[in-house]
Amino acid sequence: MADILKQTALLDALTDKQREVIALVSEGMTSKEIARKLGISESAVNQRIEVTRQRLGGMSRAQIARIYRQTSTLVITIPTSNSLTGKSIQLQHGAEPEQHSSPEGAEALLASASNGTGVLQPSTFSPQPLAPDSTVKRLAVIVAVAFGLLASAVLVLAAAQALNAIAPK
Amino acid sequence: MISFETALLDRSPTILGATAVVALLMAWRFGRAPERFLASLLLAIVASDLLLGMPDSGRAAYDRFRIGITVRDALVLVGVGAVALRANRLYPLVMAGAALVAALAHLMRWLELFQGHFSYLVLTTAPGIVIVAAFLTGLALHIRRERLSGPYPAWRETALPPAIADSHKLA
Repeated sequence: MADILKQTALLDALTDKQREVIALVSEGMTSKEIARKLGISESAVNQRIEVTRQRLGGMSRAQIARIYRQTSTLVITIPTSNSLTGKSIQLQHGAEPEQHSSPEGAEALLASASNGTGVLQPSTFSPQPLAPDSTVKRLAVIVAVAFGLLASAVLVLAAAQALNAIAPK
Repeated sequence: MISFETALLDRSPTILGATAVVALLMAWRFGRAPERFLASLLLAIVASDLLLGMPDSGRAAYDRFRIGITVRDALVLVGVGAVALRANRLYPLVMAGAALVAALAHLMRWLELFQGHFSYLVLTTAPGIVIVAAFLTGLALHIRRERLSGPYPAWRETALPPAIADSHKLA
């Protein structure tokens, strides 16, 4: 945790433009893609990355991306026996930890949050996955949409047939 | 005033073709991998319509079961379905649902579960309109979301191979 806070402090020292570029680097984009996205030249992107690397002690691009992902948001997932995804709390640098779904303090949750190997799982990006996240649920949604459209089509066809029947010949 | 059947058969391929080209350009400029793939798929659908001679066949195309159109729609279902299951997006689910309707209509026609020409026409053509509308709406919402919240993952993490998903864990 202390290392993460130290790394967060280093990232906080970056300018907005440097952080903007690093955010896209952490997403796996190339300099060319970042340049196109931000509307700047590729050399400007490389320059910002190089300055950031020097400020962070000569770290590689991949290391900076990893640190950015780790320090942007921490999500601790506590597996529970009767839920698929578990309960989770979110810790953000500089904020007080919120206590979700448990009367214990954040420290007790941290101690019990690991999956037996002490591994915390940070989210890669701050937004959560767009629901539903399970393949089975997504399949169910697709089938539900199909039947909804089919039902609408049947209603439209029935209405067209009825109108055709009552229309004067 | 043109009939619904004329609008569906004669005018929609031109409108869909133009829309697909615009959608592809927007997807390549503003979208990510799922948008680009789906836009390319839309363009491929329009191109296949030209290859299968759809504009010329018109009503005759829907008088009987046609293997070319069926195979095309089955491939569309597979492509859109794969993106719907793996992408971190919601609109491909609607697209996949519409593609499933078209595929089911071909299956029912092949099994001769219904004979109506007009029903077959509606169930195999209207999903194309739904697919395009869902794609354009989804693309607009994606652009808006990225502008408001910044970049977000294109693919669901739980759908990623374990080697890539594992690299997100702390050492």
